[in-house]
Order: sequence, then C-alpha cells, then structure tokens
Amino acid sequence: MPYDMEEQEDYLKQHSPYDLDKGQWEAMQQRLKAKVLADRAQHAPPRRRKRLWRPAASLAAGIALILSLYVVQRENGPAGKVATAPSLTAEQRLDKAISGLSDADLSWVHQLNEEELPEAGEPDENE
Amino acid sequence: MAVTDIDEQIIQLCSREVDVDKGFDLLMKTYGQRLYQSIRRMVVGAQDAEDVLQETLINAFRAIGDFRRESRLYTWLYAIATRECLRFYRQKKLVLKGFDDEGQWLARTLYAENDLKAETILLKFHEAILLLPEKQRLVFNMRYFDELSYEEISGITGSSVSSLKTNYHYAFERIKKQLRHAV
Repeated sequence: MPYDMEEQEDYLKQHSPYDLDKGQWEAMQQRLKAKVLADRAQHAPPRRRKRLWRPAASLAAGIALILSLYVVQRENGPAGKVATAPSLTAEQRLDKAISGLSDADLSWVHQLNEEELPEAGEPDENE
Repeated sequence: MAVTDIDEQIIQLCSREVDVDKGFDLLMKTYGQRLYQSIRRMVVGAQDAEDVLQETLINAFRAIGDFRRESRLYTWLYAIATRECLRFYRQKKLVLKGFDDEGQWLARTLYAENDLKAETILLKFHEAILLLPEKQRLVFNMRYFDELSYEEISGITGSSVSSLKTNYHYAFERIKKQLRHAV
C-alpha cells in the first residue's frame, strides 16, 4: 500500500531523526552558553569602560600635579618665601593680637564671651 | 506579527549585561530545541548543526540590542540561522569535493549518523527533503515544520510570496512522489 504523506502528517512532523537525548542536549547547551557569553563579554558595549577611565584619568592627573608641586616646593621652597618675613600661624597671630589689647578691652572680650557662649551651647532655661 | 511577552522578557534580559546568562537560559528554553531542529534539518550532521547554532546565537547576542521588534523574535532568530546555514553550504562547497551535489552529500550524512536508530520511513522522508533543490528545501522546512507564514518566509529569504508558494508546491509533490515509491 503506497505511503500517504498527507495522512501521516502528524507522525512526520512530530518525529525527527535528529533528536538529541536530554544529556546530550544539556551538555550542548552548556558548551554554547560558555562560548556565547565569552563572545558577548568581548563585544560588550565599551560604555562601562569609558566611565571608569574618565575618573581614573582625572585622579591620575591630579596626583601628578600635586607631586610636581611638592617636588618644586622641596627644591625651591614655597613661592614668595625669600621676599617676605616668615609667616605666623593663626595661633601666633591670635596671641599677638591679644597681647596688644588694653585691660579694658580684655575685660570687655571676657564679658562678651560669657554672655554669648551659653546662648550658643544650650537654650536659656529662663525663657 | 509583533513580539510576544516572552520575547520582550528575553530581549530585556539579554540586553542587560548582568542578566545576560538568564536571558540565554530563557531563550534556549523557549526556542532552543526548535532552532536546533531547524538547523539540523538543513545541515544534517550533529557537529555541523552545533557549530551553526553557535554562530547563530553569537550573532543574535551581539545584535539583540538593535532588534527592532518588527517581527517575532523567533522569525528574527530563524533569519540569522538561515543565513548561517547558507554560509555553511558555501564553505562546504569550497573545501569539500563532492559537495557540488549537496543533496546527495547531506543524504549520505543522514544515513551515516542514524544507522538504524530512526524508522525507515522517517529517514526516507528526510532524505527526500535533502534531495530537493536548495531553495525548495528552505521553503519546505520553514513552511512544513516551522509553520511560518509565506510573508515571514519572504522577509527571511527575500523571495516573493508567489514564488515561495510555487516552490513549496513543487517540493511537496516531489516528496510525496518519492515516498509513494519508497515503501
């Protein structure tokens, strides 16, 4: 009896001589996944790399600038040092200013401090 | 036909670098077997099919960010796979003596890889497909097994719908005739 392709359509469509068993299919998928992901990592858009490069380059340039200023300062001293008198620290300037005050001025500064500090530190209980 | 929800999910996962492995798993779960069978019907050999599927997936994963959602995802994957199958034929023709008659070469591979595992009628049916001219073989596989519309096949192959219908008709009649005599 001749084979009727139209009558056997379901069988012909649902069976294949090319089927792999589950183990073969899983193993092939793993091989493919490894290769596809490796290729994808190689060909990933370079956006992320660019983003990392910019701050890294800025940081490197900043460090180079600071180092070059440090080297120049060590070799030549700070700019304008030779022409001017040695500069005073803030503490030394404060001492100098206080020592120049009269007794009346000093008393007024103490009085001012005592009135101002409680207000700044904690609320007035009498309010 | 527009992309489905599952297509959209695959595209989103595959477009994000952190989720690309999940995207791969979902794509393979949804379309892997179907894609593999389609390629295998075209190139026959198990190792050749794996190589072609690998190239198909590599190309798809490189380009998925540019997928324009004008077709179903499977049709887009099928188009890439078809291009890779045709590339495979061209390469074989360059390096293999005897591949000029590609249908005979493919049919020999079919029997070499199957021994007596598959039923005779199934092997005869697939042999008849492989002996079709290349264009008829392509159209027959896409229409008969993958049930793509003529419009979708036209989008993949670039042939007109009327030419595809004619080719499918000739292919079907030819296979039917071969099977009638085979049993």
